[in-house]
Amino acid sequence: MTERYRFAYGYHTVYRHVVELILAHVPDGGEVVVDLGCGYGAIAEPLRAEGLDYVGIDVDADAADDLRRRGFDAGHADLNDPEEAIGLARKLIGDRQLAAIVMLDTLEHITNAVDVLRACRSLAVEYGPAYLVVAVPNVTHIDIGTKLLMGRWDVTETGILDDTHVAFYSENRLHSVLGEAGWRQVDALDFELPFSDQHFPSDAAALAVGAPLQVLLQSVREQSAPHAVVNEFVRLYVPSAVSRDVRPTEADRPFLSVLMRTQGRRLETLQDALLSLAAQTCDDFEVLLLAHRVQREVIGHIQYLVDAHGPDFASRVRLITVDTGGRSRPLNVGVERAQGSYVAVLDDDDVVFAHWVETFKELAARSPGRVLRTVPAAQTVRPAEWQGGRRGYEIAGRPRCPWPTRFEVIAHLFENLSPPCCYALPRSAFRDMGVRFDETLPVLEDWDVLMRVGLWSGVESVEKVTSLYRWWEGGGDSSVAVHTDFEWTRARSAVVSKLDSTALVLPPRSLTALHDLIERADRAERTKAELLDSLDQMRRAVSAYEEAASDATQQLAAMRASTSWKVSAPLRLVGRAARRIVHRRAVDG
Amino acid sequence: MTPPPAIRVQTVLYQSTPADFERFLRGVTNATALARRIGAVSHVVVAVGDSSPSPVLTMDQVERCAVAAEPHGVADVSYDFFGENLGSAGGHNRLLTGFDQDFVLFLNPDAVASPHVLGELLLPHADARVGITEARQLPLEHPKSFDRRSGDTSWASTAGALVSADVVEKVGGFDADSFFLYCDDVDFSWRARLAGFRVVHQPTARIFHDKRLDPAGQIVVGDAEHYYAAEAALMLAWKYSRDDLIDQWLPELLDSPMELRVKAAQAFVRRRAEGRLPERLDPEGRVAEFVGSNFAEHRFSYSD
Repeated sequence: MTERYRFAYGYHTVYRHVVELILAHVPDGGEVVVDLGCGYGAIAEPLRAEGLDYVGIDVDADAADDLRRRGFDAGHADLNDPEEAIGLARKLIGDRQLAAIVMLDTLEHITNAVDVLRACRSLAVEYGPAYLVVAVPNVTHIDIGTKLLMGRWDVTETGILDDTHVAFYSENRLHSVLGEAGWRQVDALDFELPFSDQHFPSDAAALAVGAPLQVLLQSVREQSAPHAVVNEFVRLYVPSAVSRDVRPTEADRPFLSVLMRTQGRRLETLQDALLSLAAQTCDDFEVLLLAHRVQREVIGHIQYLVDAHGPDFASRVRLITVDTGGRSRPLNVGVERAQGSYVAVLDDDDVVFAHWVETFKELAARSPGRVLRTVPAAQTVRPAEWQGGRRGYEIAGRPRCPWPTRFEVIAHLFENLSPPCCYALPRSAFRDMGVRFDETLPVLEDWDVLMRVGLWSGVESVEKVTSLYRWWEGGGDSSVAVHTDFEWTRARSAVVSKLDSTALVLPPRSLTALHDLIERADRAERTKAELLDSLDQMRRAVSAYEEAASDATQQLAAMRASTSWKVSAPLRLVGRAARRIVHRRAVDG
Repeated sequence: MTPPPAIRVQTVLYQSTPADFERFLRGVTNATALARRIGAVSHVVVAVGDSSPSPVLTMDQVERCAVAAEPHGVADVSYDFFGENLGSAGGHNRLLTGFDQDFVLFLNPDAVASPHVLGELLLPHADARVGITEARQLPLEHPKSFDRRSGDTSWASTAGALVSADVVEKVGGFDADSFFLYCDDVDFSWRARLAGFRVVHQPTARIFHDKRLDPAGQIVVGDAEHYYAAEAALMLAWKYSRDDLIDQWLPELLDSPMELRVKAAQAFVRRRAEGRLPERLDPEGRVAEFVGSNFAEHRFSYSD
């Protein structure tokens, strides 16, 4: 082994994280820590200082010699033969009790990780109870992903892309490999480096802090999955049953997962909504009926209403109770449990037309991965009592389509113009891009998600009316009535602020739309200026007329006060009398 | 104790698809299963007529559907390909031949019954004066008004209506000679009311009727509706002794820019000249309601 791996223990190193994790979990009676693939054993002295015995095993005989010279038990073995390595460990442990096995910067150097980890598990059970601590570089660090987008894969002597690495780990792969070998994670103390050894060239737009491209890529990475700045995963495991990921195949998955929220207060409209789903022309969907803060006895009634539809439909409906959180919580619970390729949200007072699912499916076939948007209709209803005192409702007007028939991204940035029942979101937005409904928002959580998903995924629209949104006259239990104007205003500001806090991705032709918008605004400004100018001219004209009138009044007053006017008064009197006589004769005939 | 009633469900297909029919029958089967579980019905038979130019279903398909529905209480599914277009009224009349159940549920083939629809529609029939109960339609509710407390209404849409055997016996079937496609149910309801029966709208009884809206929010209708709706309005005004409306509507229709309406008006004129109009009823206007172009007060309008 070359000297390049002789690293010193220090405060800001992965070694301190490993040691702290071990010390936090040393089992009662644990005496020895076995370090497989130990290299020069940077953690040997710190562990000894804490009263633990250290045993190092490495393929490099020089490294083992070095450790022995420093007074530690050490041996030379190749992990390509796990039994040989574990056999050596058994000898070196002797009759002491094993506290932990460490594999620090080792897994990435071997291709038989599962076999080695299984052998470790046997050792831990035999000499333990003992833990396993693994430290492995994270190839999903944001620097790696960013540089791949730049077409760069910079192999280095040491670091995340060390030229001797033969295996690469994301968190999921680590979880999968350890699970397959019979280890279960119980703690973590990851080593983070916001700027890893791969953070070069640091002046590239994709890496330069604060550059719009860097901001955008960072927001994509951070939202999509955790650990964007984890340089090395440092994880602690205990032996457990072997686990294998069993996931439904694509063929088993429905096309659409319908997340339907109910508070159990509108059972009549809920029955309407369920019937409209049972009547769909396309059955390729599941329903996650999310009963939010619903009393137990009402839950039973809701289940009865579902079962009444018979097994064909009821088998596709899962009733899930959610007893905590606000409006968004049940949606997030639903998202976690959804199986469909797409996710749609319905409330228990929405009704869908028979081709709702069919239309989404057609759109998805045309444009997979996009948000799918149809034309929503709205109808005003009001609470009413039905025969038998049942809490029903009545229609207060015909359905209308008050929202745009197509999704216009620029308009949607300013205002929510799509009620949730009219669109379906790709589940990948939640599964792969980490989108969740914002539980801090009292309302408008749907707008927030629509914009965050729509801006990245794009939106495919079709001018078909497939859903009916209900407006409650007098409010009823709807969000409009339950939440105050203040909450709506604040939520709107919050959604806008979130969008504004990162670089926006706009679809092609958005610049044209922005030009149109600015042109319209300019035109409006010009018209306003012209109107103000006209108004000004009119005011000046009025003012001139008023001035002329005032002058005339003054002249009239002066004339009336003059001597000649007074002298001619009898003549004007005679003239008026003569006009009256002439007029009377004309009337009398 | 009176045994639970037997119900016949009738529908008339016209160029539907087998998938539409399966959806229809699934709804009826669920409704039957639930109604039997709560003891509301003894059994249900389904009578399907087909007015299409060629059969919508094969006998194998009918048999498969019948076998699947049987364990849920659907005792029989019959299928009658008429070989001619009898319209809705004529098709139902043909199917009513040999009717020997306690009730008949007229249900459109593009409708899906809700699980509770049979029980809910039966409830008002506890009052022997009630002859017809009408289901509430989703997603587009019929705008016709009804008495909030009693449910009484001017007429019942046979897109989903339960009619007692008494009514069938006393009123007979639909007037298929006068009403081919539309207003056969208005006429049927008014004749039932003239015979002393009540017609009741039951909002808790749901059916999903597969209607659609266009992006302007208007109900999507076919050409046939323009023709038959105009023809039916004239026939209804004639039959219920409203010459004043004939005098008003006929010139308007003859002068209409829509060719189909003109044709409908001309057809009426021909029938009148040939003496082929129905016998006139309700000269005192006891049951017939003509409100604008509607046959009842409406709570809202789909066309404003």
